[in-house]
Amino acid sequence: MKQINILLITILLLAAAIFLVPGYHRLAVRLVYEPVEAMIVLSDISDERKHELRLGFDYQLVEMIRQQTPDDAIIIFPPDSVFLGDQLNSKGAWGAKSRVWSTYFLYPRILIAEEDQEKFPELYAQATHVMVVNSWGYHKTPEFKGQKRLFGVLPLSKGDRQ
Amino acid sequence: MIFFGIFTVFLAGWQISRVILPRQHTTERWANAFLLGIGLQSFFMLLCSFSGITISIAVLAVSSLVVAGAFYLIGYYQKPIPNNSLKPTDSGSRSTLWYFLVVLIVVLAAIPTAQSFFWPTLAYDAVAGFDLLGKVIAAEGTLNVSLYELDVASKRGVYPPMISGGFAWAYLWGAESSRLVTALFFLAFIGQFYGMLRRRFDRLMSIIFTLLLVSTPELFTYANLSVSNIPAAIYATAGLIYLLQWRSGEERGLLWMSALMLGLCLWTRADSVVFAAIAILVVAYFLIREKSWLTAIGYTAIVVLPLALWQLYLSIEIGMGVDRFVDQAFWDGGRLWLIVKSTFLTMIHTYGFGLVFWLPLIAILLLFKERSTEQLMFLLMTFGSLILYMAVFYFLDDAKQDSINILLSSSLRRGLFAFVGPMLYLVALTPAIERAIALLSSE
Repeated sequence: MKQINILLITILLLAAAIFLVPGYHRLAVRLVYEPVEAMIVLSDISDERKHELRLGFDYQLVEMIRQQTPDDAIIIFPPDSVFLGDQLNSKGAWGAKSRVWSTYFLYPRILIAEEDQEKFPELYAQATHVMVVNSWGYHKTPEFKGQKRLFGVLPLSKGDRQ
Repeated sequence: MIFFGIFTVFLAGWQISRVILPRQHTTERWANAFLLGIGLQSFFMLLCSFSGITISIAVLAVSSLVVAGAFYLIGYYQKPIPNNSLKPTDSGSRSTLWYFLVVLIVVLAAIPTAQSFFWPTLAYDAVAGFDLLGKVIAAEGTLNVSLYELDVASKRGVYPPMISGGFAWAYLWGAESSRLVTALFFLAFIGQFYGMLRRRFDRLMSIIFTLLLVSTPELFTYANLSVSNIPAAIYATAGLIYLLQWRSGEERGLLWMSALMLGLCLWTRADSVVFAAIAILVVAYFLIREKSWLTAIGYTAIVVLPLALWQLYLSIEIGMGVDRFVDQAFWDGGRLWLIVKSTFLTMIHTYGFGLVFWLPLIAILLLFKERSTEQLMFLLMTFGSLILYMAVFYFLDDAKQDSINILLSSSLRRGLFAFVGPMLYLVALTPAIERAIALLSSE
């Protein structure tokens, strides 16, 4: 009987902690209940969709580049200043604007920063593609005749690289 | 294939752990098998990279099996160690409350574990750091990956290879995601902490303090993120607690286990040097008084050697250095006050750490009433580490990284994970609390 009483008191104490201490309330609701609910609701979706849900357009952009380039592609990566607009992540360090973050999804493709043209001249000269962000990148392919898009990836011809 | 990889990690870790510390609680034994085994994999990777051998599953498996075999033989011829266990002879029966708390911990542990398997790697530190490095190490078979040359290794590229190597291990063995390693680390944290408590306290006491650890909100938030803070916290906690238990119980294996844990702590994050420094001071104080010079040197070598080897590799092979601190000592009262204030405000903010950092206040107040040498020593070790931790922030050079304000609002909080376990252990050492909980477990 004593053990049952102690158990009941413990349950009351735990409930009091959840309602009175903000951290334990956060644990119960934000860190336990909500994640479990999310996992149940989203139980059937693919990994790609999970990435899209959490990372938004930034992931869609790098995934599109991954699909449209071969593994051995060397891609010219735009300068920070062009990564603007509501679609891209502007809060925090993560997102397509980070060359390191983008490399995670695009490896073994090589991302060579536009600013690194002088630092890695040989690699830059071997670039096979250019990443298009907010229409930046089309100037690398003067002979491009198609419809220009805000985001994407363009193949570079030998002439473009010279 | 990943199951064979897991088997080799646990086998090597199990044999090492068995030889060093023959008497362990079951949960502690499994946890230490993983914690030592996974550390060994990344250490093999460094040795391979140093000697020009391509990192592969064959090399890792053979190395693990050789180490496991060697330690098995050592264990076979090892003399039995006299039983001088710290544990009270009456360790309490498995009460209804104990079962209830076990279920609660299992449920809490299951959630980040399930999240680790459900969600892909998303945390910035992992995507633009440890998991990226892990993937590339596995693909290129060396720690000196092309990311360094291309300037995309990020600042996490200078971190010791424990986490990136651990993730690389998972990819090498064919795992689609490295999240398995993250999940195992958190489970090991729980198992090891409970086991370490059981070495000293009864069942109910141990399970209550394990629940307090698992339910720390900020720590729980990071339990399913592929970052280095939780593993560093695990190794730091174990390093300090094993060291204290060695002083209290005189079992030499605890000293060596503490050295291995702190060595792996530095192998995870170099800024964990604060715990290593305190531990080395404690060891030097006791062992030099006892004229056990060799043991003191051996302890220091085990703690420092892995990180020293990594720094050597980083500067010789990769051509990078770690330079985050100011060149000379200085005095800035405003900066010091800002760091001290931020640290304590972060600690007592219940939204982040619940009541974990409030509890030591009770322990300190009760310490005045009832002296406990063991508790006083651990108080000095824990608060000594905390003072050094704040000193690290003080001497960081703002010009070489994010400003101090940014670091205090992000890195500081994550660094405090390593103090949660030691602070809880400090509270558990309070004789009055131990007596009160013993009353609960009595029939």
